[in-house]
Amino acid sequence: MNSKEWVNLFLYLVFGVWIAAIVIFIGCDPYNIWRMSAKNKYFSEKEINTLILAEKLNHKEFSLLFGTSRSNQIFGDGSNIDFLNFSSSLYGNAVNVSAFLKQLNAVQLKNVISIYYLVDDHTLNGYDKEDSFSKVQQLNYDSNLFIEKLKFSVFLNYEKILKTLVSIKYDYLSASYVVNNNGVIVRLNKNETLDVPDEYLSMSTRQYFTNDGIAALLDVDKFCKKNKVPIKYFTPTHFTQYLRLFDFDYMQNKWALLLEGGLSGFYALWNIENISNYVEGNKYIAFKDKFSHLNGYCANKVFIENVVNGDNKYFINSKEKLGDYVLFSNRLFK
Amino acid sequence: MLFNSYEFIFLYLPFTYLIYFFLNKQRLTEASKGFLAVSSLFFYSWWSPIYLPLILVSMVFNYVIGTSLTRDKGHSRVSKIHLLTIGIIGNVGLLGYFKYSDFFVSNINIVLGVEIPLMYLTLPLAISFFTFQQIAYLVDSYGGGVKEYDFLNYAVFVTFFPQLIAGPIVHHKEMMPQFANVRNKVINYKNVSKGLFVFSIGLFKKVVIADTFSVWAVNGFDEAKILTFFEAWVTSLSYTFQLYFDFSGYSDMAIGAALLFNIKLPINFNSPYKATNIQDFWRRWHVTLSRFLKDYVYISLGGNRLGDFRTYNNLMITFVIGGLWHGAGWTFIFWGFLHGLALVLHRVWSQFGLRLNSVIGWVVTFNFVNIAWVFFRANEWEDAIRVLKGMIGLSGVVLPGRLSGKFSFLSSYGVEFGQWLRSIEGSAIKVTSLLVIFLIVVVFFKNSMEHMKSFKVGYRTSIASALLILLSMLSLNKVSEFLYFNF
Repeated sequence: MNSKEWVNLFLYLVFGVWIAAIVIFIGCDPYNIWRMSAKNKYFSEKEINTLILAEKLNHKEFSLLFGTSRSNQIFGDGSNIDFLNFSSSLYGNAVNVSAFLKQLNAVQLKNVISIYYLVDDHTLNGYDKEDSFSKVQQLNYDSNLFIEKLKFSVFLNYEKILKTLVSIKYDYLSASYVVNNNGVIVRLNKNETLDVPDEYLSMSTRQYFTNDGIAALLDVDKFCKKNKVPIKYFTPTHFTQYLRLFDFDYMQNKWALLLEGGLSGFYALWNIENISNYVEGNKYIAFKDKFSHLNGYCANKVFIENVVNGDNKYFINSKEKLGDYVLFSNRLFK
Repeated sequence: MLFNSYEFIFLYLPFTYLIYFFLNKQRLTEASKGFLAVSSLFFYSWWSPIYLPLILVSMVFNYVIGTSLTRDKGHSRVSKIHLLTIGIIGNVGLLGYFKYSDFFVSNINIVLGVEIPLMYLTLPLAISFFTFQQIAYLVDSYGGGVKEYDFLNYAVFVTFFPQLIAGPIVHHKEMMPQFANVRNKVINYKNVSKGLFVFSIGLFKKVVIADTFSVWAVNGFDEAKILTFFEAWVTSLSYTFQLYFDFSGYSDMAIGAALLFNIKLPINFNSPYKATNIQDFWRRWHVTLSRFLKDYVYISLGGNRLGDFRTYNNLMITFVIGGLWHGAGWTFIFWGFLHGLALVLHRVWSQFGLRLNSVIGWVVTFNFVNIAWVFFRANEWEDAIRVLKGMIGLSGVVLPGRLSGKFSFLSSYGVEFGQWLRSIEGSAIKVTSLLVIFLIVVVFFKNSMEHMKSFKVGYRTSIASALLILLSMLSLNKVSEFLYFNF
């Protein structure tokens, strides 16, 4: 082999392998951006994106859910109205949700039957640049452009290669979850548990509600009232050790601002008897990980029982009730 | 433009290469040089063109001084030294203005208790490198070692894109004969294959290895409030490896890219972490900077010709200047001071005829360098102290929770059990295994320059190079700057 042949082999290999990978990537379309086939299972949240979900609203009525990873397994409200879960694609930052709702056209808006909103720690971070979850994701309709799709397909990375492999045969890599057509994360094991940690010293997310985040949520609320879309707010549920670190006083101040701003109420589900403290065999039965995510079964159970069919037990609609709740919680956990 | 970017690899490099050799093939050698200079300036101004006039003015200034120094007529020795002084003051003044103004003012404010407002100047890209390179050119011109009357040649010497941003710092006399050589104006596949081979290694070192260690170094230095014993060692070692793979990766890419144009740049790294004493380390680390400091600072101060005390003094001054060159901050100066002190101690030690066993010498040298990097990397003194406190165990020792059974007796000595690398936020197995693997690699394996020397064309090297490039390209979407761009 001479030097010229060496260079040729090098270039053929680099460009040949890369082009082949692009062709396979487009053919498998693991992120569903080329939409050449009607898929119903995907392997990462990005595959079923905000635009795909929003497009469905042009044709049919839906109830919507906004939130974080703590609500991404909720698949419906038990009614015969179909359900779109935006927790993974749009995420729940109120700034994004507000921007999203305002960009819906008249047909899409008319097809929104009701909204459920999980108000988690990240969702009211507003424009805080230090929090990676609060980057504003304004709807970008340019992502439909051919050139955008091509760029996405040409600039491959490890994750894209992995998703392509999983798409080819996801059993080989034992995917622990799939994402369905409505944006819901469907974990293959719905009854995961969490070993009770020996010690639990820091919460996985900061309680950091900003003024612009609060203003954005009030903006969402006003938008819904103006357009006569019913909206229900609820909080995530945590396990006991998590709640011991939780700053209820801080929450009292922030939620008081929301109630003062016009929110008609919310379901305070941080602590639910027989869920938060349900331990058997040194395991939290309702939770799947130390980040305080409920397992699939309990995420839906808590939602249906306490938000959809919720009585007044966890519903807080005044600063007085909020004060009582915080006083009780502080006694219980501090 | 970054070497580790799609636009450089797929657009800039191939187009510049093809047009340069096309022009040479048409015997348009002046046009090819002009094209190389202009395209290099385009490369320089890709991020921000606002400092383009600065580098142009700097080039013209030094070219005028340099040609005046090399013209014999009308200049006495005295007037030449004045010209050289003006030239050096001009360069150091420019560097000082952009790099050290705020440092100087903030220290004045502290000492005198005044509040002179800071200027918050952005450091122009590559200013430390092109300033040093041009000072060397002026001194060489003064000494008669360089004669350059063609501005285009001079522009190519300063701006040649592979070495423009972060070196290697080159001498006029080692570059210009190569550009003038007719044989270098045609494509040489031997050099192309070698260049691609070295470039692939450098890219892999940067985007796969250095950027992996970077995450842990950032978590330890910038995010963590307290670092326990093992966390602190992981933090410092991660930075030690990150810096080496980042900068030596950059140098490999520069050497590889230059080879495509048949230009041989000097070696910048020669397995520095194999060094068994501090003098050995500085013969292996950032070789072209060491060469510059030795030739133009240490020897100018008198070197070792004026007795032991002056030699030690000169060493200290040279290394403090070296520290200051890296950044306008007391931590950089202290880092330079530490290395100067180590070299003085090593010299005294050697003068007594004492020698350390090479293994002990390596352990001492590696740990000294690793600890000194803490000051180099820390943003503030407090950050350095926090990491060092952790490294000597003053912030507690945490062992993996699974060892709590066997080693429970250690609890009585204050040792805790649990998440032992919590602040680093990486998988403990991954972090420790990569640190061990790359420690072995840097100490026991051949470096990229040695591989380049023994490079042979063949299927193995071609496939391996392609594989390294492909693996690196998959990481290009998380493009990160090279550490030495900041210096």
